[in-house]
Amino acid sequence: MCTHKHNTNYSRRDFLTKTSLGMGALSMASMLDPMGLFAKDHSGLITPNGSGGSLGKPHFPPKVKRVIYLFQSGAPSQLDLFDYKPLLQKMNGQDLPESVQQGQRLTGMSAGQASLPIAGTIFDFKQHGESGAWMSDLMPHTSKIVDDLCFIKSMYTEAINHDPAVTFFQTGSQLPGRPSIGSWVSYGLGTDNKNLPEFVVLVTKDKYGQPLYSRAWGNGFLPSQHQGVQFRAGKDPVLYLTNPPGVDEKSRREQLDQLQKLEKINHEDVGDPEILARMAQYEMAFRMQTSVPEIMDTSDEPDHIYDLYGEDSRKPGTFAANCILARRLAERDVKFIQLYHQGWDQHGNLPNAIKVQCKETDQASAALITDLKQRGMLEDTLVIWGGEFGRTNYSQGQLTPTNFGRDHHPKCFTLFMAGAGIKKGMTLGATDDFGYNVVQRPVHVHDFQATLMHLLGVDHERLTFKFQGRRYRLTDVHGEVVKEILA
Amino acid sequence: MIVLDITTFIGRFHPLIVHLPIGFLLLAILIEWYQGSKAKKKNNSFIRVGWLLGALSAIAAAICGWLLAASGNYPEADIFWHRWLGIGLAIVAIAGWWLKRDSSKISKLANNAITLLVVSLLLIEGHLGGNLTHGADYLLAYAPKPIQKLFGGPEDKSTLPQLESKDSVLVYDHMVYAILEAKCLSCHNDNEQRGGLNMQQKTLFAEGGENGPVVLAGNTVESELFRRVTLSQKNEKYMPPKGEPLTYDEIKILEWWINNGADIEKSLNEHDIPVPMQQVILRLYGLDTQPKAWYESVNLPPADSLQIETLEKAGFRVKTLGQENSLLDIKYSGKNITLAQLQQLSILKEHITWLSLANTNIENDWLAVVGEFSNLTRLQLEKTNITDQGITHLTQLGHLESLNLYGTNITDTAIDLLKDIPELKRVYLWGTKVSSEGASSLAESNTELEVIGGISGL
Repeated sequence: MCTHKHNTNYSRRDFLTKTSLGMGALSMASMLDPMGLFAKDHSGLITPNGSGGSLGKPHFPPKVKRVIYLFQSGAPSQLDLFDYKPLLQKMNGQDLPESVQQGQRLTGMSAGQASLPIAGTIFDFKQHGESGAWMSDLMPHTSKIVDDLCFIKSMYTEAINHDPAVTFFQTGSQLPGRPSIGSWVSYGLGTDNKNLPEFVVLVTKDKYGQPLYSRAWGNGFLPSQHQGVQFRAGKDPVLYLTNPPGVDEKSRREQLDQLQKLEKINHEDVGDPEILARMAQYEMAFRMQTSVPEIMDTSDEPDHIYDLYGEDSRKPGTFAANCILARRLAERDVKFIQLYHQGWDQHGNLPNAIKVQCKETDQASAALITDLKQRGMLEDTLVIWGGEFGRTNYSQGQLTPTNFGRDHHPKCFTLFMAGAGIKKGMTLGATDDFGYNVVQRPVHVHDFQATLMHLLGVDHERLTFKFQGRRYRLTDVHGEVVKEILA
Repeated sequence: MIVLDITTFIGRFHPLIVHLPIGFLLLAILIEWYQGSKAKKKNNSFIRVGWLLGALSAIAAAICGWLLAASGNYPEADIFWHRWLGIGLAIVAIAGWWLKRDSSKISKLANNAITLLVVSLLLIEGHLGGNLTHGADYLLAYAPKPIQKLFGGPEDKSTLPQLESKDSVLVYDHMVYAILEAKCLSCHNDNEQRGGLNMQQKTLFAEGGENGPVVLAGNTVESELFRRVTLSQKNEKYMPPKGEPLTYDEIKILEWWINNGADIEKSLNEHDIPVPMQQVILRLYGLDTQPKAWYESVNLPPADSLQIETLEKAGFRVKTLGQENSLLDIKYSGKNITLAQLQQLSILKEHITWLSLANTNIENDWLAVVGEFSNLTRLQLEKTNITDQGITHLTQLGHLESLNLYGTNITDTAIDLLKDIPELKRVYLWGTKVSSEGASSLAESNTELEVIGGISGL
């Protein structure tokens, strides 16, 4: 009797794609070994010595092997931190001239205001270091290391509201559904440590304000093992990772082995690549049961390290504690480590709120860069600090001598980087005297992304994934590498 | 002739009227051919009328064209053929009309010849006119690539020839001459030497023009070449008198070349290129002249995949630097390593450029193995037990740029050894027994070398 069942689970397109690419050659053994599994390029051929990325090897020698991205969610005010504009202080309280704004769109929050009073910063700015970078006194620790930093003062974006802007920054598109930067890195370059995910996310706990959706570290249409894995403070750093009570490691292993046999049958029957992704994830989770507790247990960090990162660093879940974890993850070759710190969205009460934010982030950010430097890790690690857009030069709501707020401003903002492959003590680009528009070397979000990929050894135009009939990439059809900042 | 507003006004009807002879003459010829194919011959008066109208409108077009050309908006050289072929066409059209008044009186050969002549003239003349109005590259600008290639392709004068690699570039031949060729050579060449200057021949260029050399080494102010291209564009001495002026970048190249001795033989490698000039060269010639790291300049065949596998089995994580760079980035993945494992690396000793043995139990003497890796540029030995004695094995690493020794037991004794590593650019000494005096003596010995300690000293 013929028991062969007609396979109805392949779509015609899947079948043609897969058979023509020789994916049938995938063996079960390689599926179970993540290194082996990933060591296949997109055509299904085994690459001799890849680390599992779809590229096999980077397009060109990488300057950066890992990235720590300190994302300041809510958009810090560049005018009160980095972009010094004495003219605004001189014109404090006057209406923003129409010739500056030129009818460009404002958010609904301040578009209806009867006047747009210019709000000069009330914080003191000074030049620091040999590079003479301007910094306000809100960031005393970062001010000390400006000669290690590269500021881009001419960033601009397309989105004017938080979620689209964060999504745009992290995925290259304002609309949800695309893979995030970390996922692209994981997909293209693979892993350097098979016991940990390539892409780890740490979010400061108990911070509120604008919501932060997990799709900012989502894999989009890439296979799901490339999504960012969030590590949390507390008993369960990765949710549902530990064995339930009564299950020991040995029985867990046996259970997984049996599960794999079933999944193998399932995969042979159905042929859905997501089954492979799930199996890889099961195995990763098993290995993480050992590797994650070791990372999260920071009791072996000496006191002088806690002192360097600040008092907060002893409290799990703070930005400072996460900065220490970021370094520990980087030391273990996690490729893309992303911190999120919310609370920068200061539409009102900016002077007080920004002080709190800076106190939470300044010392630890500077400490992280210093710590990486003394360990020699800036040799191949890149640190990025910045938000999703800037803030307006006029006050949202009432302007008083001690209080004001700033609305969203996508036309210009500042971010800074430190580490491998980029120039030190450099400032790129400039805004006009009102801090409203970019007047020199504009850098679009896609340019930033292209540069980031370039530093990782990836040509952003050549890392693509075919989905719904067309090839997608992080920068869509845009983005140029900012060559001026490359060392 | 005297140009009046009224003549230019009439002249501007040229683009309108030119279409009439094209239409009339082609229609007359088509009808004639159609009739010729019929068995029954008939003397069609329309053919005659068509030729007459064609001839008359061709004369009108020629007159308008002459007036338009007189307005001076078109370069004389480009107009020449269009003008005389147009007049020729009018004459041939009149002749055609005269001959074809009665088809019985003209031989078939002559009849066909004159028809063919008119068609060809119409095509050529129309094309030349189109080129004058829209520019010579208009027609083929969007043609498929093979067709563009067939016709020699559009000449892109906006960019200079792009340079591939710094090594083979001669400053005069490949950089300066490219600018002269694009902007100056049309008047200063083998056939034409305005002001007695020939830039096409290196030696003649060096001799200069009627008033002597145009380039004075090291002195842009006294160099006539530089002076002329930087005058006000309204000055009648300004060069080039016609066409595109030199761009900022092109002028910067000339300035840099003259200030550096205006040598006509030297290669780019013989010059130190200041950072602003690196940017100019990158923009103008697409050539990256930033000094390359050693690992980017080594060309080796790809490492054997079986050998890589051997190393992976020995506990090393092996990565190839890039798709076109076969050097290797190797890290030992565990803590406990044996000499035998380390010696395995020697099978690919030329390929290893980044090596991390951090956090392992490596011993001083074992570093002798590492000392053989001739292309090693980055070595991580942090948090190992090595001491000053281990450093003795590293002094022969001629391309080592970065050495991480943080958390090791090295002391001031190692400082003199570190000074012997010729290309060392960064050394990490946090958490070692090196004194701050030792560290500063190392930093002072070599301005290129950055000594990195901890936040609070070493």
